[in-house]
Amino acid sequence: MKYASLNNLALLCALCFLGANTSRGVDIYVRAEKTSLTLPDGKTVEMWGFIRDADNNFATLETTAGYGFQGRSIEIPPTGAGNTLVIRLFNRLDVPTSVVIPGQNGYAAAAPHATFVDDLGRTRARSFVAETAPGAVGVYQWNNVAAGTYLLHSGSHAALQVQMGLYSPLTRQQSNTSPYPGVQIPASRQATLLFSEIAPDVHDAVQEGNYGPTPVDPARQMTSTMHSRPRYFLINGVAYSQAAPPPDIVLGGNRNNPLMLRLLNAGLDAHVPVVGGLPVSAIAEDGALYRYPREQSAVFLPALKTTDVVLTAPVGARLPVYDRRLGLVNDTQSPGGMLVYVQN
Amino acid sequence: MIARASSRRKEHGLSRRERNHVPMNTRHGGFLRIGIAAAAMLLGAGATAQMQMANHLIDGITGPAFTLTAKAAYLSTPEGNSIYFWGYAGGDGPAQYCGPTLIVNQGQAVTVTLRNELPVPTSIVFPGHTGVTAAGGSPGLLTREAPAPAGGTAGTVTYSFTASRPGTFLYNSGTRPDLQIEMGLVGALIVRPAGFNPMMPATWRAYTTGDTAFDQEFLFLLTDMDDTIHSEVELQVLIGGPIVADTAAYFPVYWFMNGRAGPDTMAPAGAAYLPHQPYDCMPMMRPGEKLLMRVIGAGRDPHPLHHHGNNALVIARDGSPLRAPSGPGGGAGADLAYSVFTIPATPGGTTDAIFTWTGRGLGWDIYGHAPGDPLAPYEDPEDHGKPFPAVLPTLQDMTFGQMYSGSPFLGTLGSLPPGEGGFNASAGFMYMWHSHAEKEIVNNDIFPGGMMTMLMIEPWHMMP
Ligand SMILES: [Cu+2]
Repeated sequence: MKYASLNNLALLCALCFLGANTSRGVDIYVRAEKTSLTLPDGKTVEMWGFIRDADNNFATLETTAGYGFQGRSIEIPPTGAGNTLVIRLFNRLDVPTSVVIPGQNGYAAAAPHATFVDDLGRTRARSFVAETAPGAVGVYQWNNVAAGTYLLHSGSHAALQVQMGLYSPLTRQQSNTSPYPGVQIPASRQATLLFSEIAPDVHDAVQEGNYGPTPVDPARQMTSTMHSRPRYFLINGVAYSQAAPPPDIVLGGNRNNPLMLRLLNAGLDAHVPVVGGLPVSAIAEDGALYRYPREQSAVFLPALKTTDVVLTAPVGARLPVYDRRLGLVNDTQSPGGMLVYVQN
Repeated sequence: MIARASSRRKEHGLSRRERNHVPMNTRHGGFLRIGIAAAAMLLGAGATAQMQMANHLIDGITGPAFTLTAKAAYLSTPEGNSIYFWGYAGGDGPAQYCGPTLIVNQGQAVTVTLRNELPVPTSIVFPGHTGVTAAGGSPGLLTREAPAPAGGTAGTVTYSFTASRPGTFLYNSGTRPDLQIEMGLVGALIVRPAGFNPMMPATWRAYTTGDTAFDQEFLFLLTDMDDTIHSEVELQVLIGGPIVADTAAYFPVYWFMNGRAGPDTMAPAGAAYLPHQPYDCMPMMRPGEKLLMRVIGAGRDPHPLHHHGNNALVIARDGSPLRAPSGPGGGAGADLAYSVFTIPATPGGTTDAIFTWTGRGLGWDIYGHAPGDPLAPYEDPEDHGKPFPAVLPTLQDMTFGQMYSGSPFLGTLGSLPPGEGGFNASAGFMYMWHSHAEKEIVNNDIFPGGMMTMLMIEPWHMMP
């Protein structure tokens, strides 16, 4: 395997990390794993997911439902230990991977990013941060974790690995009743909506071993994601289907009070969430609170962007949240795609 | 441009144009930003000016009760294509691309009855408004729908809401939007603030505050189109088959402003040869005026609308003024307006901006004044009397475009050889306004075209 020697290096680095860090702070145990996703028209694609380990150790490997590309947020407690976040990443893929959280600026780099030597003999970057080799456990640490909405994703070969599903929302409240300073919205009035895309030809090429420089079948080689286009459009890992609609997102608390939606885009293209056509107040972007809210009814959400919007909805309303960029099909099936209902 | 401007206003069979002629010296109310001398000059000019262009309001139909019919027709593109599309018609009129611009007043109870003559169910959503109710028809995913015609009778549904706040909005299909928006079911909705009187330009404001006042108003409803989808649907409708379109493979090759591709954007509104594309998109103004741009992203892709000539002040987004909420002590909130030269049009979003132009900063006197001459209206004193920075070739050494007036100076005609020029009788200046995604200024790969038009700067009066 081409990366063999680098793997060993990465493993060493990961062990260095383990030595350097004790268990202070919030420990999150995540496995990078192959899994699969069946889409409403029956198409099944290989996915790479950040699977949250239920009992927070890797002695036994169990799954906590809904995390990773399925949109459930890794929530950092607002007070105390949450100031330091440690993600322990068990890489069960057969390629090196890593974790970055754009916007969390307290990343404590204990080892440099990975490099490789290209055909011309040049040393080039392959990752944004230190990698974790297949079979190894890497430790990633962030200090002074900021409140807000963030999109955690792979920092290795991101053009492929993000497409394959290695992403997850990560959130921290300012306090138990407040997502941001000066904003009073309890967790019961909040929901996270993760928009993402599937370009099935990429997933098929990876699954069949035809992605990259040494394809199983050279006639079906795919060398990059450059020419691929999404044909499935998901919210929280689910594409809308009339036959089996995704369950509504039901918000509790006092329904007369404002609600907040954390909108994230893990796709490679921009999407434009619309919340039942209602005017919404965007209050934060990339986890940073705006000085003044921005009133909108179509929220422009470029790739890897997060935006938090606040709105007041009629009590009992069932609001369709959908993509005005019109990712509203499942391949050629309609209706489908990025549509889910939020109940107030 | 005198003749052209007035003919634009006459050829208006399909839609009503609000317009006005008022004495020039009352037009600017409290918004003069010129010196005393220039103000005196303006008053003097007002007394004798020949009116060359009126103050322009966006074409549309006024409510508050509307009937729109969804039906099929063919639109034209300037390189010669004829494309099957689905559009909204006002009442029993022809299908339009884009749909009729609905103009209502703040506070009015708006009802829109949708009649469906398409072979599939359809509907309308009105983003940006609260309390939209739908009655009749059948339930749909985003709103109630007008069913396909049965037994020769069009399906209907009626939407109602109160236009509670002024601003720029859009409406579009809420049924299979990935296909039906592509097919053309989009339009603009403008809510006039309380106190707005189309006959009195002094009352013209985009929103309630005085800093949203304007003299000229133009719509820029931007759409994109993949005509292969239209051809597929046309065939499927023809043979009565199911409508199956691969919208995920969407690859636009046409781009439109107010339903026309350039250079048709500059053809007269209501031009007879564009029966389904009645709206033009040619902004016109005089130096110093405030031109309100209402920009709507009605298609599928974002489009960067680049307006040459000057920056514009973005004052509102999605019908909400860019003004912070007032603080606990009351009073006006912070002004969040900002200045740009490219307005990004978000799909499903709207942006309002105020554009002004005086020629300021060009470094030469656009009127060709000598230093001792009086200032022209709104002329920037900084460049007054500065010479034109080039030596013009003699007529024998020049070729001529139809828009050359014979002089580089605004409002000045020069001598031209017989048969040359002639399209710019008031000696205006022009700036291209276009998508800054430059591949979008073609018609199916033929340049120039697409999302492209010209701003025409008309002089206040002809120079002697
Ligand atoms: Cu240009």
